[in-house]
Amino acid sequence: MVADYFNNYITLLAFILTGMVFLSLVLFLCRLVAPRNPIPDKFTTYECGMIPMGMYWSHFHVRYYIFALLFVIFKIGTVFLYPWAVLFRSLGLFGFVAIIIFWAILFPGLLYAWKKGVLKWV
Amino acid sequence: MEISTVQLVAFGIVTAIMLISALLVVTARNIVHAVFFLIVTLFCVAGYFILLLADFLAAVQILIYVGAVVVLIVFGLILTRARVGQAIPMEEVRQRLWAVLVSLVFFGGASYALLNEKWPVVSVEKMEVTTTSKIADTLFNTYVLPFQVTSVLLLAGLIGAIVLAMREEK
Repeated sequence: MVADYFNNYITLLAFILTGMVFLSLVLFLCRLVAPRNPIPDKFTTYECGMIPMGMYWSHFHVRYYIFALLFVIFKIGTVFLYPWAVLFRSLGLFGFVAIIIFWAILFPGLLYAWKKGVLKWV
Repeated sequence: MEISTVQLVAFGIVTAIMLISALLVVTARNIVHAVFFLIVTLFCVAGYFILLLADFLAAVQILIYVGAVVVLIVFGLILTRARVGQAIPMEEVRQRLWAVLVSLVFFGGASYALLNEKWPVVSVEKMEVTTTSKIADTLFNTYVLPFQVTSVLLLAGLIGAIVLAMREEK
């Protein structure tokens, strides 16, 4: 049982390693083949062909923090979706109703945010 | 190869990556780079959970810490510091003394807790490996009501955040 468990993760490990090797290989080949001509203009921020104004780092309005908070709250909701999806068949209708109620309680929060104009991108 | 040997070797590798990236988090001069190293560190914590046969916790670690908490940190950075892209000169870092104090207190507390706890040891071969389905079973059969209350808690957090942020707006 435990051996099976670790064998599954060896597949994951192989996947990660392949990704790392592939990425480094591509970047290395790129460096090998591409001509290098660093001129100052190349390092300016791209702004639709115009000369950029100010720094490339700028302040954002606090309002956008709410987007992040909404994201985190619904992400925590997905944590409960995951075990439910694993046992989906054996939980049956009861589990389905339970998860629907869970999201039905949470959903008015999104409606409230919408009503309050939080979702507007100003 | 023995499973415990594999586990030990993997533990060593994960710990090495974790310590290096954690050191880079605190030594990186560019705070955005520090965030990226923090992501690597948090992934390594997920690796620990996998090695401890807690696969559900590993998934939650990646979903919540790597996926959500890091986003909150990045948002916090772009909202509060305009100069995040640049290195901050050491003379301008005023919280050094407090940082040392806080980390020493944390280190002391964590070491005390680690050394004074009797950790129950279970042989790897005897451990159960179906944590996710077990958690699903307890969550949806035994504790359905607390599970629904969680949703109310999340809703309260959501509405509370909106009320607070909107009040600030006026």
